[in-house]
Amino acid sequence: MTRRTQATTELLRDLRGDRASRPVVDPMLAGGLRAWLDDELAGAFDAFSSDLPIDLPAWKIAQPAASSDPEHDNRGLSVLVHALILDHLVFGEVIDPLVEAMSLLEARGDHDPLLRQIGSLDGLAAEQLAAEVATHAAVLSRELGRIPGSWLPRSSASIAAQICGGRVRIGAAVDLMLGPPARSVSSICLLEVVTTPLGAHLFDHLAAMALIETLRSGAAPLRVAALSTATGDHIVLEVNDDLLVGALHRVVDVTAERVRSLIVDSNEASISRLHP
Amino acid sequence: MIRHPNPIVPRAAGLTALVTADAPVPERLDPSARRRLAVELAARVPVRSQGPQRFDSWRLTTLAEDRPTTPFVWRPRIARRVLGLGGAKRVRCGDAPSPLAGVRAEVAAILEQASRRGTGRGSLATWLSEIPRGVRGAVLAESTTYATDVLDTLDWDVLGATAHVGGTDPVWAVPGAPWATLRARRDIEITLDPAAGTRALLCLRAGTIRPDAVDDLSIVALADALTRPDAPIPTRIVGVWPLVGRSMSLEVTEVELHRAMTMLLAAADAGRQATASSPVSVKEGSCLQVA
Repeated sequence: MTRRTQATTELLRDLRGDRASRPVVDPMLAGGLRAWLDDELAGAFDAFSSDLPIDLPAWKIAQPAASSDPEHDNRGLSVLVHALILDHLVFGEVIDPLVEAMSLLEARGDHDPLLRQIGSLDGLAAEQLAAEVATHAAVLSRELGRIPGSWLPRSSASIAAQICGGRVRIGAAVDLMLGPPARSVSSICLLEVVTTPLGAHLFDHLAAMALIETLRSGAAPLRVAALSTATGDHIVLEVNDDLLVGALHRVVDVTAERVRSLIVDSNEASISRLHP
Repeated sequence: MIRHPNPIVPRAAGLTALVTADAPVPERLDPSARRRLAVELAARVPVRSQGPQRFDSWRLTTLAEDRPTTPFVWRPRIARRVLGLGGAKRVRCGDAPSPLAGVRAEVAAILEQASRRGTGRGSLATWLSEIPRGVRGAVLAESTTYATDVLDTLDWDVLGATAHVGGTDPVWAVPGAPWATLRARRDIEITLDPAAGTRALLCLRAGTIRPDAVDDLSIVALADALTRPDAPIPTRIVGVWPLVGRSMSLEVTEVELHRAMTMLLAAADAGRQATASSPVSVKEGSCLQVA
């Protein structure tokens, strides 16, 4: 089963946009955002004694009440589909989606339980899984097309920023990053791939990714986007000051709440040690 | 001394300015200090019957025993550095138009060379020739990301031909105990003054900046100084952490080399103790002097 891909897709055109109309990089922006974050959170750690850094992934910033990443609720399928992004990026096509994804995961060695689970499926269930993965792979091929090497595509790129003197680390795994580092104008585009239908939380997730990349690279990305391989829908957001400031406030709120809950947990643990 | 790039210029420009900043020509590592270090190490490292002893940043900063718990197997994440550096070098030389094309060419060259000369079991070439398509995709993609990180790091127009991507990592076999080696990883070498032989080394590192990052960079400085006795010690070692977009420059002085020597001797002692053979008594710290 071979799927040839198109040259340039609507998603990529939306992401890269018109080269002549890209916003100029504000060299003071990242430093200003970082100082703002540090100022807002300066008092949050007053009663917090732990030296352990607080990790805040982008999904947690978008959905602080959630106990796990909604994409991870779809975990097995999500891992398989995300593995295919690598193949797609390099070859521009996926020949046998389930087999290729599984061989990749086997080589990585970090999803052995999932591979054992898939290996134990009976014939019908295995066929159903292969068909499901193939459906998602077909959407990937259709929506991503063949990405030119000159756009410097890279996948599974982790990005992170340490704030509050390293006491908080905000991070995200970017499924697809396009464009060279910004010099005078914004040029980086970030794409999040999900195997579930697009939800409203993704707007906050993408904004958090944009903020993290701004702090990390020193320049705001050009656009952030999400693609659902379940429906083929995508959203593309222009990165501007409003988007970044909204994400900043969310990071402040989520961090402060997290610190408060850790302080409460710590106090309760102390009390239970005194009065077992 | 630690220096950081200017935060309000584009990252590559700021780092390039940091790497190429003027600095006095550093001294050479005193040959007698080198000899004394070799003598002390030869007396302290685990004996030859314990097998090869590899001392690197990880072992020196954790004082862990040099014994892998699982057999080595190639994985995309392990192969990405060598292939990524090769791919980036091809882009810099004009042999490839993009990092992906550079990495593809690097893989093809490794396989072609292996087909001509033959290849050993467990080698990168053997592994590359045997992996299925899905794994090859991951290898190419992860190596391309590494190559892109390397190429994104600096302003190559400013550096021109003074910057060299890849090359052989410094490996110093301890004279008198050649089964013990000091190794370091550096990704780019920038010639600062060809006449004086001064240079800066740039090291890409995974993850976030750890508290022992300066120790890691000091070890790179020592390994480089030991393997190039005829050149001045490196002017600076620049660490780059692409994950968090941070970098720092360690301006190398005898203090940094002293620190790395101390860690190396401590790691040798730890290795010796782990193998339960007592070290030969050598006057403590007598080698820790740089001319």
